[in-house]
Amino acid sequence: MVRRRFWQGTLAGVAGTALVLGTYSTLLAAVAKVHRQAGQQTITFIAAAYSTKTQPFWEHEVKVFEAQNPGIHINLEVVSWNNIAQKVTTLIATHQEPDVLNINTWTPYANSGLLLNLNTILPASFRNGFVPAFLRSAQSHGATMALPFVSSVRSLYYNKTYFTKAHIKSPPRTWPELVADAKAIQKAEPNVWGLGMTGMHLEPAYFSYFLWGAGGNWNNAKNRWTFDSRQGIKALTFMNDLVNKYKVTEPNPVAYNRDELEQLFASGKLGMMFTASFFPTILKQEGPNIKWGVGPIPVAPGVKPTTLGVADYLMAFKTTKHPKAVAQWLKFVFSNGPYHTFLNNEGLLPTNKAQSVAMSKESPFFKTVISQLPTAKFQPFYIPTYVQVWEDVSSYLQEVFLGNMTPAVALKQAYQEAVRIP
Amino acid sequence: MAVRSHTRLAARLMPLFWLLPALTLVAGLIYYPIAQLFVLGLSNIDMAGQIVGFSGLANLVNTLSDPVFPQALRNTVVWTVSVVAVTTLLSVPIAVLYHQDFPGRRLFRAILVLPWAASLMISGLIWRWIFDANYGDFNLLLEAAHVITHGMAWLGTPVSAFMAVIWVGVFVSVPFTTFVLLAGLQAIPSTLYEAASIDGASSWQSFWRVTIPNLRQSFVISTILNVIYVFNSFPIIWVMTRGDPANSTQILVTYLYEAGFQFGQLGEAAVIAILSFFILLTFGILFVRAVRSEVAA
Repeated sequence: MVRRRFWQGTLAGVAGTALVLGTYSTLLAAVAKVHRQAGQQTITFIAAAYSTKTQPFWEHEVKVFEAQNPGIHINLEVVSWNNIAQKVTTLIATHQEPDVLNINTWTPYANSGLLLNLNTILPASFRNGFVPAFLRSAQSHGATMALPFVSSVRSLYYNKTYFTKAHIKSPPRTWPELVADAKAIQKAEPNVWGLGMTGMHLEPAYFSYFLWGAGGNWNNAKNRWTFDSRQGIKALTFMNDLVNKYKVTEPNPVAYNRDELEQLFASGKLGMMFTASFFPTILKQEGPNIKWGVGPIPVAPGVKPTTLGVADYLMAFKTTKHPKAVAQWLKFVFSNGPYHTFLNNEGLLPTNKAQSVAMSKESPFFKTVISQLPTAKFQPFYIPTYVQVWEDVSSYLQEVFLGNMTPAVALKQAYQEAVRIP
Repeated sequence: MAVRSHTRLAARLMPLFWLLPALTLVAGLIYYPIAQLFVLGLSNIDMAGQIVGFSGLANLVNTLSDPVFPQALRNTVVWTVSVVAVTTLLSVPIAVLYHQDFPGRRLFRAILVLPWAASLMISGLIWRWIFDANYGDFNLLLEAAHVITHGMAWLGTPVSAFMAVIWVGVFVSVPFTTFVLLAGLQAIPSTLYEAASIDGASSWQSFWRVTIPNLRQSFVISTILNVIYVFNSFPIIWVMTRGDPANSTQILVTYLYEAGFQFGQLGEAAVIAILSFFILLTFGILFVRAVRSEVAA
């Protein structure tokens, strides 16, 4: 009996010791692994997932690049748009910055002094290959903090079948024409809404279309907020009129985001909507039978039309140990083969001159939208608090759509919140 | 003598050595993050998440002066109280029913586990589609029953959106609550019911006088756990409404997430987390005290 207990005790002791030592040795192994990797030319690349084609694309290109550049290893991670900002924030807070990052904004990282000035690793000849309007959107005081990676422009997309039925000859160019055409479509097709409208969060562009269309701006040259100006009120009043007075939109825009509007358009429930130049790529899959046309975003009479441009960026972090490898990788990404495949896969527009010329020849649609790129107007993402400001603005937009506030009061309150943000 | 004290010291230190991995784990995974939360709350953090200096109570002042904060706080109270109360009310009859012996009882118990087993993200997403204005099953059902003539955007108006998310909150909380109450029911000795029936109690009377009082402990457990879960529940609201329309379904957790990870204001997010922590702590203490004093009385 005693003997057995002795054995049991010994066994338990051995098992316990093994467990404890195991814990420590796992920790040691992890530390050792980090050290080993530091000896290689490994660069981490975090990319946003634009579609299901993104991950396979990068995996393939990484293999090609590694074969061409022995000694450089790319540690690839493709992250969904929903999580990427949070992921990067966490990585930075824990000092694990990636070497190269693909995301929709570079300003918060540059403002925190985390980004590498790409003038130091990329020659002027390479930088000058970009469309100037886009390159400027990635520069701060002459320093190139990021590279404009891909772009899109926003336009009015319309259902050609409904236009024919409603006897509309050409897409509307002014607000009164927009209202008239939307009404005509609803008259010809009672189960269709004339214009799609979104009041949901995360879609700041919708207010921008009308704000710029009224001749207003988010901010002035001194970066003070001006969206509550006379033009801002005019814009929001018109948006609200479309919903609640003319009733030419789906009845409750607050419940729809842009993706859902695109679904409605693809299923033939919308006559017109504003969306991005990658929409035809989506429509090819979601609504192959829809005949669509594209036109400029309508403006108030007398206002010069503008195109809303959106760009995503590639940036390198200062903490990188292998700036040369980073430069190699960036040049490779923009080389004709991979870059063209990526743009084609995702339906996005180029930011460099070479692909702009090449793709303009591929289809009349590309020719139209690419020709708009040099004059594209950007939302003020360079103001760090812009994201929060438009979240506030969209909350107040919802109050207006729901009939709880007048446009003037809503914008005044949104302004007060905007200036309160530290 | 010296040798003896040496071994005694070793013997006293031995348990500490065995406990060290567990202690390290607890300290690293629980106490360190909480301490870090307070550090963040008192720091000035830039948009990229780096601490750039001490800011004192600036984050707290900013949070408290944001008009959305009181709204989110109010919504959190409405959300937590409604979900927990409705869940408990629904769970009692279900638990009593499942306590009966009926054919297929095991199957039905298994079915009840399903909403609990599915991830909250998935439940939220499915319910979002059910409440969809154009293709949602809820609208189809109501249209078929001639209650409405055209689809309603249930998630598009403040009151209906809040009721919808509360309903989903109830839906996913009922299984857990039912099982806690069921366990409580099974622990009630059958002799109590026999005694009650000998005394001439009707089944209704024995339900109110025997079942409910004996379920007290289960109610306490399910209420405390439910309040903590529901108060901190993020996925349902985030997936279904993101706090829309016009912040009418914004609760503290979604507000916290938005502040921290969409606006890059980790300092304010930390403050909201600390406030939530204290609200729950205060609730826990008061609730347990109230229950205890009632028992004593």
